[in-house]
Amino acid sequence: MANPLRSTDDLIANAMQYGSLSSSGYVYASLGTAQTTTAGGAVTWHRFPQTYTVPTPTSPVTGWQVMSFNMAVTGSFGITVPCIETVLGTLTVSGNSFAAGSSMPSRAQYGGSSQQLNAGLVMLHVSGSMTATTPTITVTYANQDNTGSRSATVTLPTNAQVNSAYGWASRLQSGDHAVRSVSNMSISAGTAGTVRVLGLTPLMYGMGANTTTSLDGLPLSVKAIPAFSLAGGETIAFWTSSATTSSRSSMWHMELAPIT
Amino acid sequence: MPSTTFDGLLARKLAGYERNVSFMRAYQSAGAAVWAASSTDTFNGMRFGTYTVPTLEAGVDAYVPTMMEWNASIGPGITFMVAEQISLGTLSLATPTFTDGSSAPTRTVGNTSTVVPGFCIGEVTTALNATPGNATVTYVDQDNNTAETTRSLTLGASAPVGSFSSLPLNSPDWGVRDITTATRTGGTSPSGVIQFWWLNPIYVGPNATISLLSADLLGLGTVRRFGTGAQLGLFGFSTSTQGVYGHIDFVGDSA
Repeated sequence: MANPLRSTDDLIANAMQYGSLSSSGYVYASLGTAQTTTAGGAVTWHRFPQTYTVPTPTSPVTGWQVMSFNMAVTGSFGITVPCIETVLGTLTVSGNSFAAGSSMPSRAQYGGSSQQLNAGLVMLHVSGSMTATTPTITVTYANQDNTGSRSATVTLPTNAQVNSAYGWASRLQSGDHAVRSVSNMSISAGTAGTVRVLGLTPLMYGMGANTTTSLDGLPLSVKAIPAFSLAGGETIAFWTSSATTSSRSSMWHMELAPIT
Repeated sequence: MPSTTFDGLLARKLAGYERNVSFMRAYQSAGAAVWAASSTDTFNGMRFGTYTVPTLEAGVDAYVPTMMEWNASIGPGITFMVAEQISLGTLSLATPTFTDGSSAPTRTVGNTSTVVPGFCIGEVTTALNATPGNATVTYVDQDNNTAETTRSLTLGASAPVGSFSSLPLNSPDWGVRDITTATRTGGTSPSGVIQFWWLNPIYVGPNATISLLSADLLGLGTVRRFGTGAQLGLFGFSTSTQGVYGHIDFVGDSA
């Protein structure tokens, strides 16, 4: 049997024989004005518009295991999250029109069966700059048990900027801690812009500290192995939280080990 | 063949095939950023130093970094980076003249031969004068799209040797394969030289002023082999006066 990365020796053997994926880059989220939330519970975030497509390996390599991830972010307290995104729904402000997205995907984990993922980190992402005065957005969703017709409301700042995002897990109904799908979105006021509900599947969390922060992807030896491996063609998106949201740039570095 | 186990690397180390590289109190004075008007779309900092892998000893095919420890004066929360570096070219401001360098290397990644895009910085190698003008840089992005041109970058007044700024890219670009040209406009008797680097980190992480930090590179998944002439740069993401000391341990691997 080949090396499905069960040990440090497997990691070294696969990396030496097939080459590990060591990648680094730059991302930048430009916001015209700083954003703050207007309702308690929501946490401001940036979604960097640049994404990374995982390269497709050649047999016998079948995918990648995330080993470490580090990000440095200008001017931020908070955390940084590289993740796989699922678009659960989209609201077009003009016409108050909702378009359904996908449900959270199912993924097999090593040694286990395929299971539908929960979005515990669920975002309202402004994908088109809004013209709306402190709008309240109502989201109808299915919770972690796939119980539908659950409802949450979040108030966004006036004229929320593209690339800004708002974590609203704390606005879920009592007893809920995650979202699996969204069946409707509506907005109380506004004439322009688009807002998406994104379900994030984090690969890792990093901690921020200060201006030009360092976010330390923790080593395999002291942190649980991320829940699943990555396949070629999957897209990694980059997020960072902050108390107030203004423009941010980040450089990231990740080490992915080949899996056979 | 290359070591394929931790024990194999350890055996090589215990057999004497090792290299301990100290970077004792590498130091930079405070200085301006390379792109003076940079705000939230660039990183600025200073180079601590550079390590060039010497001619390999008999019986050694490559050096594998296994761990590093360091302490820095630039404070917690400020990024410290060690990265493989390849020169993409230089811009002499006076004429101005761009001299082309190398490009991003082709490596075996996941059993596939592919170009590895990198994080790109401009670094001052000859100090800039007081009014150096503006620069624009033309680059090849991660997907091999050519003729990507940056916005006009205001050059930092009297930026000292060793100061660097990341190259702000056009969205949705995240990486650089090559710099094809760069030029300078404006300024008053502009002078100085900026060198552009492709960087591929072996470590990016925090600093500490009161305690020692360490990184188990193998545990972090960094399994890299460096041959003769490979260069590792040490960088602090701060333009304040700063110093660092520490060491990187390598194992001399066999062919």
